[in-house]
Amino acid sequence: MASISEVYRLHARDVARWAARLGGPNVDVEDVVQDVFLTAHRLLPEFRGEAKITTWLFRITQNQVRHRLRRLRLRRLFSSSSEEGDLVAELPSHAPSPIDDLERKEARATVYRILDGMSEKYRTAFILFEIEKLSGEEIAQLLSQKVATIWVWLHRARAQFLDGLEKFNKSERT
Amino acid sequence: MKSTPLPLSGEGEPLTRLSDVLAGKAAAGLSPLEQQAAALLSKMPTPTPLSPKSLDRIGEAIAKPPASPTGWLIGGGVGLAVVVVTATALWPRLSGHEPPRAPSVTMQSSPTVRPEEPPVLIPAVVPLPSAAESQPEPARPSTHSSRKHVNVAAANKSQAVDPGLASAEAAAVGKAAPSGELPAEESALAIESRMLGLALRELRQTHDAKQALVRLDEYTARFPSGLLKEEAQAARVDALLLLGRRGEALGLLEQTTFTRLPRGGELTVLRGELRAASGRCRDALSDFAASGGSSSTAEVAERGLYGQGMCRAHLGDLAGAESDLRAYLARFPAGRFRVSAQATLRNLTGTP
Repeated sequence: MASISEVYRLHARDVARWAARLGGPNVDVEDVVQDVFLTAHRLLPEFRGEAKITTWLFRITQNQVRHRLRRLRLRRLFSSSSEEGDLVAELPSHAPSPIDDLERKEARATVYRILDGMSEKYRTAFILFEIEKLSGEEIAQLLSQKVATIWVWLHRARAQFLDGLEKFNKSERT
Repeated sequence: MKSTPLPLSGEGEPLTRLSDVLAGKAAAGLSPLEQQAAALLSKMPTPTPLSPKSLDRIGEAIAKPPASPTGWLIGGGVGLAVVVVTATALWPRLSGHEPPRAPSVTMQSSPTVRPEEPPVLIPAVVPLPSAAESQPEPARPSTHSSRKHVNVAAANKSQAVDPGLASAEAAAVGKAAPSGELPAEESALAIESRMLGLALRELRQTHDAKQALVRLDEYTARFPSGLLKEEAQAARVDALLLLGRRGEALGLLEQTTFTRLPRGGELTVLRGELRAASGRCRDALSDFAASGGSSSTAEVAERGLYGQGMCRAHLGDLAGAESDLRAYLARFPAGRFRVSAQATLRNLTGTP
């Protein structure tokens, strides 16, 4: 059994990338990574190697990100924050950023706003395929699913994403 | 329990990534919506990797022995129960879909769950500090006293009084002319100021940009050529930006001249930034160049010089970009874009 330090050394960067991709701009990646490995440290003695270590870490990361996104929604609900708040934070006039980054930031804000309206399994599969550029086989391994199932999810995820984009366009027009 | 729909024909077949399709020969086969999705996805920034310092810090934290399970259970159990109950009650409102299944790896509640943490209030919208500083006060007839007779005819064109505005107008007129002795044009300007003031209050105090737009529409309908028309248009730009409607804000900035306003320079550089952000760097250059005048504030000059340098770099004018960014760093050594300017300069000059 590898030590937690070894697991951390080998997989910290993967976990950071997953956290950033799954969580989007509102999640503190460093915070997630620390909590993922603290959890892994606690659960490592129970890990029997039935799944690949990356699959196991990915699930812990998913849980940590899910928890943060839920907390974010709770905060928004209690504060009656508008959905536009995240986009507003990206505006050049009061959150200046390099002009070359503006389009990318705006694209990220739009994409995650749409992703937030998708069901979690489709959202995760979509992120791993379209953004993280993993293959169907790699996604199947991370999510412990059959490859054919992943393709079904991805077809549906794409349909959900396009539907969300269409709604986003309509809301922008009004 | 919600059943999983059976796969439709073709759903089990491998897909090609949207961004790959967009980059390839099959792009023409994509619908406009798919093309938009592909364009968005291809612009997604790469996550910034954790710095070695962060990695070391986390490594040290996890090297310590894990907390005792009983310790965090006792400490967080009660609060966790509260969160679970709250989340269960609110879940349908929050997610709009069924909760995800429990993962197959058994996850005990993490010690990082901080159920005792109260909800943090997030402001509904971020105010525009720079705009707020330079916006006209709700009512300032004295500023326009020299012009107030010019557009009186236009201001008095208004016929019907919106019932929703009756009280505001009554208050404005009453305030300006308690005895009813002031001339009609004075009253019209007071009404105009009051109506614009209502819109600005929505924008700056209640931060309700949608309601501000409603107020501005009422103002424009009543005073299409009002004395405060430019101020109203500037407020509309702010409201549209707060709503994320950048395209419309840019359209307005391109239709209207704001040079008379104290914040004309800021609106010009904002137009440049919006043009640049929409890929129109060539158009943006004139805005950035105009922001370098002696009457510009330091903030406007800084944004203009930086924007000009970045746009020149974007357009391939490497010598011009280098000159601008060096000038920027010399003039604003602690400027807010210095890190990006330095990084761009390093890329331009090929120095590490």
